[in-house]
Amino acid sequence: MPVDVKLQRVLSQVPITALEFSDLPSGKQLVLAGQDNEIEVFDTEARQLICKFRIFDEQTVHGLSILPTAGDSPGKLLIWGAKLIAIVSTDGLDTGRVPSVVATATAPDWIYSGAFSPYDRSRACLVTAHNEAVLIRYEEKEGQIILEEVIAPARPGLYSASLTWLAADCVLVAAGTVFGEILVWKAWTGVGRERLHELLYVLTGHEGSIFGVDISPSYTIIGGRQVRLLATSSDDRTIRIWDISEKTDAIEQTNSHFSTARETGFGGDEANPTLGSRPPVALAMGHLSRIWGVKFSAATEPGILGTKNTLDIYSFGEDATTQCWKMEFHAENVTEIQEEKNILTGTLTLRGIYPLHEGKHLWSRAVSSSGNKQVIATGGADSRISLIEAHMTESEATSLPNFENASTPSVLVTVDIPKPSDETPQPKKKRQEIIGQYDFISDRELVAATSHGRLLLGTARAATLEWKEIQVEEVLHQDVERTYVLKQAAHGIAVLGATSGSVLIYHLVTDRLFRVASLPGKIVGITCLSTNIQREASGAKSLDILVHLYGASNPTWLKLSATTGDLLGQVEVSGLDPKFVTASASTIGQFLMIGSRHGWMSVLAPVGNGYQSVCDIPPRSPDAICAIVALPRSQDSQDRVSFLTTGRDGKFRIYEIVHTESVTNLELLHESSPPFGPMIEGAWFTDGPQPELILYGFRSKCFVVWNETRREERASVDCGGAHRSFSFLPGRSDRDPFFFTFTKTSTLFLYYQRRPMYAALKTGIHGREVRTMTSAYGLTATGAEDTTIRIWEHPEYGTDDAKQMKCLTLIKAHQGGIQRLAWSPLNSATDSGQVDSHLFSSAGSTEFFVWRIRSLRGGYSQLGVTCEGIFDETDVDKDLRIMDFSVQPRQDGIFIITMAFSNSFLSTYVFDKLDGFKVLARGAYTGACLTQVQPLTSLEGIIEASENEMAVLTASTDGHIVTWKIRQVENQQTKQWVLNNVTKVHQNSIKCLALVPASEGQFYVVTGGDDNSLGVSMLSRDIYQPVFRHVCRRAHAAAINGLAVKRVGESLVVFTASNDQRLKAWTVSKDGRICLQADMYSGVADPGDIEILPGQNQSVALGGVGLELWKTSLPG
Amino acid sequence: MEFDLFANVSRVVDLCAAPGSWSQVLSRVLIEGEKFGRAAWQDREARIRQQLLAVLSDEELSEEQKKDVERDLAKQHAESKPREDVKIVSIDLQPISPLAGITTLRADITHPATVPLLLSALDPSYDASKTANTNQSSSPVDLVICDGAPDVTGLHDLDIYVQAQLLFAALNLALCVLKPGGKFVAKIFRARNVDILYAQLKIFFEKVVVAKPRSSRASSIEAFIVCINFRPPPGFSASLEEPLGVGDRLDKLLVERQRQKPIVAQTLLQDPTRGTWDSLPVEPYDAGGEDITEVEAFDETGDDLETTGKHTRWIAPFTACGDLSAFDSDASYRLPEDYVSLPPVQPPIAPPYKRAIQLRNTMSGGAQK
Repeated sequence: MPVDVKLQRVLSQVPITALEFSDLPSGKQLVLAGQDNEIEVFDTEARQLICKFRIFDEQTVHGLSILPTAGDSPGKLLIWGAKLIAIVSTDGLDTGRVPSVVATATAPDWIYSGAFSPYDRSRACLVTAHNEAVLIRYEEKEGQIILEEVIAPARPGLYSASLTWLAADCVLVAAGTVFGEILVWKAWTGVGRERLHELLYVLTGHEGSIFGVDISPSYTIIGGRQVRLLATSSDDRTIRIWDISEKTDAIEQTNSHFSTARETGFGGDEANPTLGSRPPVALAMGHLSRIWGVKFSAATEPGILGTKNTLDIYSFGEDATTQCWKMEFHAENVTEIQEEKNILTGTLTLRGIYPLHEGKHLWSRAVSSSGNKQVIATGGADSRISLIEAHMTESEATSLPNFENASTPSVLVTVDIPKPSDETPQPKKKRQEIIGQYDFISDRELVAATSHGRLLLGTARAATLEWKEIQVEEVLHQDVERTYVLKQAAHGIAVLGATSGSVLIYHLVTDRLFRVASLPGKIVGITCLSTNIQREASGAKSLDILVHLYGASNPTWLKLSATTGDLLGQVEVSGLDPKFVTASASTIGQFLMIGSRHGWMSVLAPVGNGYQSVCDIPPRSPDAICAIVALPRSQDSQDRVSFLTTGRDGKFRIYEIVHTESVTNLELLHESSPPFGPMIEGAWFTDGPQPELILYGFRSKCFVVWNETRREERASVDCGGAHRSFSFLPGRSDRDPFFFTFTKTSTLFLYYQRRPMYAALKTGIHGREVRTMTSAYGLTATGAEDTTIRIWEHPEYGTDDAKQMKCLTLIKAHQGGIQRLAWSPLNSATDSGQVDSHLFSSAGSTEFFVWRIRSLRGGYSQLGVTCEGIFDETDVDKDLRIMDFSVQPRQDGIFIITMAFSNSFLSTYVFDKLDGFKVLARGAYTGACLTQVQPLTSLEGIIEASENEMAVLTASTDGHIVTWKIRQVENQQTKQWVLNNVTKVHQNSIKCLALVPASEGQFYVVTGGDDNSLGVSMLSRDIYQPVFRHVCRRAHAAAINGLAVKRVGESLVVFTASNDQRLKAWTVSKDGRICLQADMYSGVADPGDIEILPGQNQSVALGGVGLELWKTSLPG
Repeated sequence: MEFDLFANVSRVVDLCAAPGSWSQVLSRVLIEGEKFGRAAWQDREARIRQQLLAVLSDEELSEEQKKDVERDLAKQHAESKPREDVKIVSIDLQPISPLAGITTLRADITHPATVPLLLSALDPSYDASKTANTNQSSSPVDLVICDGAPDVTGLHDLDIYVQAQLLFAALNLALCVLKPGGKFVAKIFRARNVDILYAQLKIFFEKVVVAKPRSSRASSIEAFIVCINFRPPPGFSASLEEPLGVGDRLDKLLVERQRQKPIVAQTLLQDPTRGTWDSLPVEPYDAGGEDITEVEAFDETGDDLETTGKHTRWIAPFTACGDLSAFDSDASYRLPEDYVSLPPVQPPIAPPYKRAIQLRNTMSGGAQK
């Protein structure tokens, strides 16, 4: 029966190539994003996708411009991609109606910029890559776009262009050329006009291609002068601001500049400065990469700078960062330029850097201004859309920051120590009083101890902390003065530990400070077991604190009343190693878990009246364990108890307590590093049915709050670095307001964040090309050039709207781009859907890792990842690439791994978790780079590998497929791979390969080549000789990088992905007859791999620059 | 070199020549008379590797093939004697250090001013003012080479467009200076819509083949398009006012060409061994002589040109050139202990961010040198 294959794209995550804000009359703000050939519409407030619609058949959207609704006239979108133009009506977009394309046209050349005329709503202008202004008219009745005129003063090649309408018949164009020149000119429209263009400026100075230009609105600066500015960004890593205000003596319209025979290219003619050039107003360097774009804050025209004399400018780089700049005009010039003699000058100052995207490139950006609020949207190659609220944390004394003022997302103030009241005895010879220890004890109140022995209660209000001095009884004065530790013990209760050995309690409700214990020794630390972070009363009856004395490893456990703070009793803790120095502790289930300053952990079990250490876990690193946090429980956690630790080694880990009658031990389930650190100070899980993991700590000079589950940064506060006192009071969720106080140069700072200053409107994927994919157990692992591995849950999709891909974990351990990934062929998913399997990954420089992937039981539904093996063969050249590998598990849990190297060698290793890699066999090919290796024995349905009867098939860059058999060599430990058969299929490199068993003792080898060909060879199973070799030479217009094969009855269904961006489906009949079944445009450039995802309706995943999911008509 | 590029060639234009590798080859072949290409068979290293395992023994040259190679070599030898009337003009954005016998120009090939510049370099008597309206060279050349590639941005669409513009700029120049029957070689990106590009080049040349040197990495999308036997469509003249690559002139030409083509019914041949009617015999470009069956896939998508992108597409035959024994650029080699790496003839050119690095160093106290 013939097989019929249809393909339908159901999900796409590719680079965001166009962005624009749209403010609706209803007050709602939308973001329109161009992703491949579609526009996606998001609500910025709800951060939700409202709708998406297709613009072009097979063309990426490169830009869009909005004509807002005016009166009865509905709003319109002007959209372009390459040469194509489309106009879309936005009528009813706020009511959720999906807009439709009302007209399309083709421009004579590639388009860089476009805008509707504000003077005549049916007209628009576009600028092409050869500096042409293309004027179009939209005939509403006919639903047609008419190309009216093409105007160009000269046609140099451009990399960027920007335009603005000056009048109903005049457009101002700024064009950045490939060779670093900027042309500023006017296009005069109207048929029959004598003069169509007027060249205003040729700006030179950039030393590389101009990648970004932006024309400012007309600003009124001090002195009342109107100026129009141009911002440019370039390959030379600079941003330049130019004054392009109109002069009366515009340079002559001339073509001779462009047509006489002269040498061109980089490097201007020094002797003859270009006509109409002038120095920039300001110049700055910020990005460490090429700068793709630059934008002015979008002020309403005419913009008035007023008395500030400053402007906000944003730049967007290949380094995937957004940078905020302040442009300040030099004041003396501002007055002088009234005489129109002086050239305007100014300074650009960097105000903020936002690294919110993965990998490289920000391909699209938009700026929205309303009042003082400026929002920047950026779209990356990682398909993420970020929103940045461009507010600089106000710290200037002149501006009065206000906690209640909702317009600013954050406030940073310095807090002065209140003057002591007269009754307080004044110390005589003491130094200046500073605040030593402090901590928040409620959502507003902070308790602080000063170096002069005063205890202060601060309430966060308005611009600062409102201080109140806490009454300290005479007898406690000494203790307060010698306070070494001050911590929140529970909501409304602070605990103080003094070097005198006293433990004091401050109780907020009764405003009482009292001593609960006097211990024999210096208190050097207090750990509160029952709090992680408490904003409100927890309802617990008792609260538990561990007090650590100098020189004693076993802490003193005090049990206090949670309501009054009074001492209830003591619990004995014993059995800790004498060298153990506690850094963190928590009760996990029935156990007490203590982490040491040197990375050790001790599990203490309840014994009689106290706790006894039953197990010491050696350190994974010699750095301190900062926090121990229980994992959220759920019903299916049963008796399994897991917890998380954070450390000063930049890692966090998740353990499960393995407890039987005889043994108590910890099993490491997960170990990874967030993109900050190495000081990871703490963690918590958010409330709700789907708890998220939030980590906080330090990166360089900043304090960082990071949502690990979503992989999004929530805050970054410049506090000077990790080594300082601080107190952090987070909100219930990671988006709630929070306080952060810290000490910097003996001064107390208070930071309040009302809302995150940046957020993801759309979550992203890999920041660079996906190179390899592997799918099993409902999980798809992807490996990319960005050196990361991600594991995704198969998205469920309904009838039409696909959900986003949900990333369950990210592994960043490789130094180079990932070459190949493979799941262990053994299906080890348990009945309950819990995954416990192995994933293997290879990359350049002979990197090879063995990963254990497990479901985390309980309420936290991410995956646990631990590394069980790192390939470290000393006799292998470190520069080699492991091009491919095959894995065969043995019954005893040992893996047989065969690796294909770029130096034409083939090596097989026996891998055991404990013993690592041991050579089993080696072989060498002709010198051509091996690209593929597959075990032949697995064809027989034999998953278990027998070491003496192994056979593999390899493919290489010389276009040959080769079968190998293993052979024992006399007197040698290492076996040998011996060539069995060599078969030519392709002209050069075989880039992808699949083995599929056929009937009658034969099997298919399906190959895709760099030579555009699809090969189908039939080999016999017994001697591995070819039966036939069929090659379809022009299967694609470019190299075939990936293929996936599914056997349906007697036929094969083959999916191929190529650099020509076509996804094709083929059927291959038993006799090798090849039929093309489907030929679809794909938005994934440079595809690396294609994978069939098992499921009810079989779908195909395509990975490259982005990811796509295609639904097939094949049954599951 | 499978295409005998330099046979009967004496006048050459090399576009985007820096750092000058083609120009170096040209100068050595045409001026100094060295031999290249199949001479690489004599590469000792390669032979040893082949013999190591005798893997490719079935590919060992038959007597006949050996004779062919020798004949070719002799022919090439004869042809590569220093030739009369050699003229090589090299153009690049960056200054090219002078090579013996080569006229070097610094120019942007996409710039209109480059045409008169090139014409006057080819023919010193050329006077732009006198020959107004004609950009045809009075002294045409045999071969135009364009090895130019843009600094890729990473936005694939844009990079492909810019590369195509570079190719069209080179083609524009070629149309002005190429003899009928001349050759055109240019770098292309084998990526999206490259089949449209192939179809467009077929308008001007009899034979269009895409060739990838084996010394080029498999992962690279770069390849060369080799266009042989220049024969512009009747009535066509190169025009600066209407350069190719902008506007729809090429599309129109294509449609015209398509229209003029005789309609030929495709013939299905029955496969004698299997009795099926599925395989269309295809002109084998890779004459490996092995029993690889080249099959043309049956198209059952039911699509016509209208639905597959509204463009005329044609996939040029692919050929991997260079010998199997040549160095494999994907492979890793261990260099001999006494290996001395030779500096390139021309060092890499100054990047545009050179000054940015200098400035950064100055600002950080100039510690780094």
